[in-house]
Amino acid sequence: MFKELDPLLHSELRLAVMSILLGVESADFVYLREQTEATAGNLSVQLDKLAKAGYIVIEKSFRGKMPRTVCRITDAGRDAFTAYVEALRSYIG
Amino acid sequence: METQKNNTREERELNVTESLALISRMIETTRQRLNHDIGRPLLIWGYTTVIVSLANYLFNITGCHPEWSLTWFLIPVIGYLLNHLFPAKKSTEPRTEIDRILGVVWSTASLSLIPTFAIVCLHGLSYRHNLLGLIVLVMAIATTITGRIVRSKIYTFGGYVGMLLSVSFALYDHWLQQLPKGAVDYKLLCNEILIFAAIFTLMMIVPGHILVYRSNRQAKQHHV
Repeated sequence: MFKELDPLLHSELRLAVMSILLGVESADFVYLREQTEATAGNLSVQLDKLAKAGYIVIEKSFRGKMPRTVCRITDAGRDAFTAYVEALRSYIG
Repeated sequence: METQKNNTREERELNVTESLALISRMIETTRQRLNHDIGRPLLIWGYTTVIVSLANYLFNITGCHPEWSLTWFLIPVIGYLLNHLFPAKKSTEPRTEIDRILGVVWSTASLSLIPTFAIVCLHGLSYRHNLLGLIVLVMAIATTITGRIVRSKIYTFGGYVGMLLSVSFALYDHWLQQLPKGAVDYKLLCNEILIFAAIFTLMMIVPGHILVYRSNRQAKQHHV
């Protein structure tokens, strides 16, 4: 029986972001943009979608005079990611 | 054009194989990137310790005023400043759980040097060889733990070498005690500082250079 794949994670950019955040305590917006090679605008939109779903939290602050955006995966995000990988496994058999 | 490419990327649904490949690639890239400069702190602390040690050896054998011994305290100051000037990670790079654990290990090890120093000083300066031996031992333990956590054989080996060689101070002191009375002069006692510098070279500088060399080679291969 195939499990349903979470549509929020089943997109290239959002899945890439979640895979990165899974291995770190938190990640800077600049780092995520470099790693995913996405544009700032597109990445920002996708991060908002993940944040609205409660999969990540976005913290905005300042480092000196420079604005800084840091993203962190939540427990709900970890659970969703685990469920997504489990669902992928059901397809492989 | 770029926007179009990215929008396409966002909308594009992946098949199962592509999803798993993407997850693996991102996790592996993050892991490699976060471990790319682990040799740098070893070089910073190793060179700082060796240079300050050799300077103190020179102060001692040339008969400088004992107050010059206070320059030993430059090691944490210089090391801390250099670590901030040449951090192993860019400020935008993420911190991992491993970073946090290593921070705890090294801050605890460094703090433990304060009571170590106090204990040895309260016993009198004739216990100096114990102080140097204990400092080496504490730093070697922290180096070994770091190596085990980041799964670096070179780091771990450097730590074990330091642990083993920390005994050399006691052996050297034992050898000095076997010498006839009057044969032990100030220069022979100062050799302990040279042993200290040699151990830090083997424990931190040599492994640090190997790790930096490997890291640079991997980075070049990655770019090719």
